[in-house]
Amino acid sequence: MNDYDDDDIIDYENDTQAGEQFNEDNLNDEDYNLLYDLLPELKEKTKLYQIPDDKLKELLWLNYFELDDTLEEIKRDFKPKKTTSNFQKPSPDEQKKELHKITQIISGVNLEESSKPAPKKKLTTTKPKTKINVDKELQTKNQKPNLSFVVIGHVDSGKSTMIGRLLYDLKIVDSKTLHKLTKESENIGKASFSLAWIMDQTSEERSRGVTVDICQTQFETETSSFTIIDSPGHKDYVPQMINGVTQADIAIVIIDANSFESGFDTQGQTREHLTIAKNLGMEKCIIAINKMDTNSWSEHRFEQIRDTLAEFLLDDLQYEKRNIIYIPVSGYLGDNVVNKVKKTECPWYSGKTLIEILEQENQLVNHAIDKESPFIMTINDIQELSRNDELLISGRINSGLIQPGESIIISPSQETGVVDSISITMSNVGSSSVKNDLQKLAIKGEFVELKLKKLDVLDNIKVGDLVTLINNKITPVKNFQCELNLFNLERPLLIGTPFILFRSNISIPARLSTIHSIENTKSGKVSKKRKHLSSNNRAIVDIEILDRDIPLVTFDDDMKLGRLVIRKDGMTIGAGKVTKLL
Amino acid sequence: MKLLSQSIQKDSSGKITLETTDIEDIYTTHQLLNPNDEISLLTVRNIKPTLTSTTTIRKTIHLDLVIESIDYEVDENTLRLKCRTIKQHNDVPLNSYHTAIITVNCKFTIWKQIWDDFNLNLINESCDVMNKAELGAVVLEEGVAHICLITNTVTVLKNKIEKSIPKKQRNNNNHDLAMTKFLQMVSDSTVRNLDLSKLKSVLVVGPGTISSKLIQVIFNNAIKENNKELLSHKSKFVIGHSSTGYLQGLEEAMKDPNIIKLLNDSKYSKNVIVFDLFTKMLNLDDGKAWYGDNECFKACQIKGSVKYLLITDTLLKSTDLNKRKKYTDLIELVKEGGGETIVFSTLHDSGEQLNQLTGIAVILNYPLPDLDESDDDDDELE
Repeated sequence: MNDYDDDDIIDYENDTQAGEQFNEDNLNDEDYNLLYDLLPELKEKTKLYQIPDDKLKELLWLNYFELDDTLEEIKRDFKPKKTTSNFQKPSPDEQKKELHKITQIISGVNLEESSKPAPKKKLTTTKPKTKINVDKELQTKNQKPNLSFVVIGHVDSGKSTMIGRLLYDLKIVDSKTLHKLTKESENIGKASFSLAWIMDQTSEERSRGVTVDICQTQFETETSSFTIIDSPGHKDYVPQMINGVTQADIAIVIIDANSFESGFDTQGQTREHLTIAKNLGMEKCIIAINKMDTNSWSEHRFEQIRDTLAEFLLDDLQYEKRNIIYIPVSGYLGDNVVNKVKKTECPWYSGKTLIEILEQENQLVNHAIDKESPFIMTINDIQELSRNDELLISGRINSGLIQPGESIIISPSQETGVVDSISITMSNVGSSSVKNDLQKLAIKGEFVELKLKKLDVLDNIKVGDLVTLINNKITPVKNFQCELNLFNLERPLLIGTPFILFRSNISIPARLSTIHSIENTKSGKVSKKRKHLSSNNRAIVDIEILDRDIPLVTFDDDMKLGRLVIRKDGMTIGAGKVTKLL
Repeated sequence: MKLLSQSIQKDSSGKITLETTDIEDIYTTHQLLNPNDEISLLTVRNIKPTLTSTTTIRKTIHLDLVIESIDYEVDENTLRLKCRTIKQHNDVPLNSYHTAIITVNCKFTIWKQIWDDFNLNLINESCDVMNKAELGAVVLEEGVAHICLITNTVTVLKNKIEKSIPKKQRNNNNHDLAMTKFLQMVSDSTVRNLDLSKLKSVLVVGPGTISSKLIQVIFNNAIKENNKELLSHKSKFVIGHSSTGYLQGLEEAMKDPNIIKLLNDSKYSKNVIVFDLFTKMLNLDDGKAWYGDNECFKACQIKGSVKYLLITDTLLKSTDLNKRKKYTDLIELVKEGGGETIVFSTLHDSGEQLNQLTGIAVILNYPLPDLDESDDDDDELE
């Protein structure tokens, strides 16, 4: 049993009358500090009793520094003294006003800041290492702008194979590497996976023939520079796929022409992936209908799939018709990927190949950089370096620009550091050597590696943290308001129901805490107080994050970071926009 | 729980002596006790031998106390009772404050003004050895693992493991190395935190193949260390599927029919199933599932309409005696009508969710669609 809890006031009171136990100077440091921490509060609460400080200290000591117990004892043993001084004090009404004022001041105080020990380092901005002409640098960057694509679709529709084919036909993967992979895959009886193995590198992915995590590759053609992100199609790995989508500008949806229907029913991932992509702000989609070779390039089949999809995309997801491009391809054979399909095989398609579409899209996108927008980057991967105040973080820059030498702060841990160097990795698939291009400047949309130095505690920095310039700190939050759109639910979403919340690459348990208003998107009816949300409801709600505080940005501040998706029991049940941080 | 003696008068007042035997009993005791109940037990206290001495000595003494407030430390499995003495003791004067602590293997006598059916049922249930079924569970995904112990009424989080796993890269295998290390950590912690000989089974759930990989690691280690005891428990490990490595994955896995079959006599899994049924029916909105005081009381008035009454322990444990009576009467009413009452522990996820939904709900045998409409009228009248 704990000494702390055994307080017996009367017993001890007798001792105090003997009056020789308590001596402030005999206290150890810890107790001494505690005593002085508690004293002001106690004094405030016992104003009416007018007890001298020494007596108060003694009482505190006797009650093992338990404030509540001390108060109880005082209430029992002392009588409040009324003096004229009481009337000099402000009247209750005035006190109320005063209290209100104080409450306002307190509510304005940022706890995060005050509860932290004083920072060891000065929180000042630092100038870039070298002075460069920013405009000129931006111009050179814009000559070959970067566009990021994510490849999504149902499991086994051929996403990894398609990317493998693209890289092989563009000569980014040499035939020696492919030959080696083909041999290896034949050894375990999965010869048709050789192209996919360019993207799937872990032993698990190769032996199961299923992509588990996203894999991004940067490559260049004569006119453009691309980042292509392969994502897993398996139901269990939708979280990773969401991460991929948040790093992309445009989605390529791969459809298996043979088993389109199974991927498109309510349980299939084609439907779920498209819903997620649209709700995370992906306005453009390239629909690649794959494995056409095994369908003898049937135009009828192509049109059938196109029409079924169009109905869903345009009516349910509200895509604009001009933002959807359909293309028949064969990733395994490489038809219509980089090389056009032979006219003898497919006489009815005369459109562009996949890479031509990609280049065209790259030219269309507005790459203008708003120099004024604040620098934000989401950490996607962390590598430790030999020195213990240095770290290599990689990710995509969400907005703004950064130069080596500038000081940054990382939310939620509020660790600060300095950017030592910035590099862009051009993957040379197949060979183990990595080519790092050092950059004088990195801008929105680029996938970069930042070498940070002068960090304090490396363990505090996690994947999903937000990096900003030091004068633009993002305070992490636990509660926020959001506009939530629910999809088809099997079970209603109750207040208190836990679910998993996705914000870019963070996934974290959270729950509904308040429902402000509900609107049924199908009937348009606004209903009043209810404690649950059902299918197709649009609602303004408060969400509480359960695990820890996370850095959030409202939709108004950043159109991408301000979006989120919620999932429960392995199903995507809703998506929303952060409207207010609480 | 062991029931040592019991004497209850005609007016339902009386005292019962109990002994806690496992962590489940701590919860039961928490359910039983209310402020103003009296308790007598052996407890430790710092006592000054003489009036003038400066030092105190710790003494184990028997005290009679009246309870002022109760704190339940779920993770430490202790109950802290803030009390006042109601009998003079040689070392302790009357009306002194004392904090008594109840843990496993404590004997104590409780005196209550009124012992109601809810209380007595609790004692009966917890004394029934057949009723005990503890379950171990590991919920994990890449980089996060939760190891917990599930009893009928409490989910105790034993350990949480977090490790950042680097992304896969072409030029190194840091990802695979980190994953191996992570699984090793989870494996060690599972063996350390779960006493397999006492558990009925251990549920391992997670997305993809991670759960089977963990089991592989655990038993590869066992073979390496020649841990025969661990190997003999191999059949207790059950693989489940969930989409996440956070605790909510546990409930997701428990809805799987195969898992239900394996755990069919666990009270917790029954709670999960009934609550799931309730939410499904609520989604259909066919007038057969309702929540809220007004709706439920109205439904229970119609004999034979209620199939299940779902109620949280917090309502039954309300400090307001009238309120408590209201709910125990309601349970009686449902019983008469042939319905079943299921008490949810708020220390499990499903109970916590029900609590957020007013704490009371019903599943009906046939639709009663107008339960809330008349409720709205009442509101307007007020």
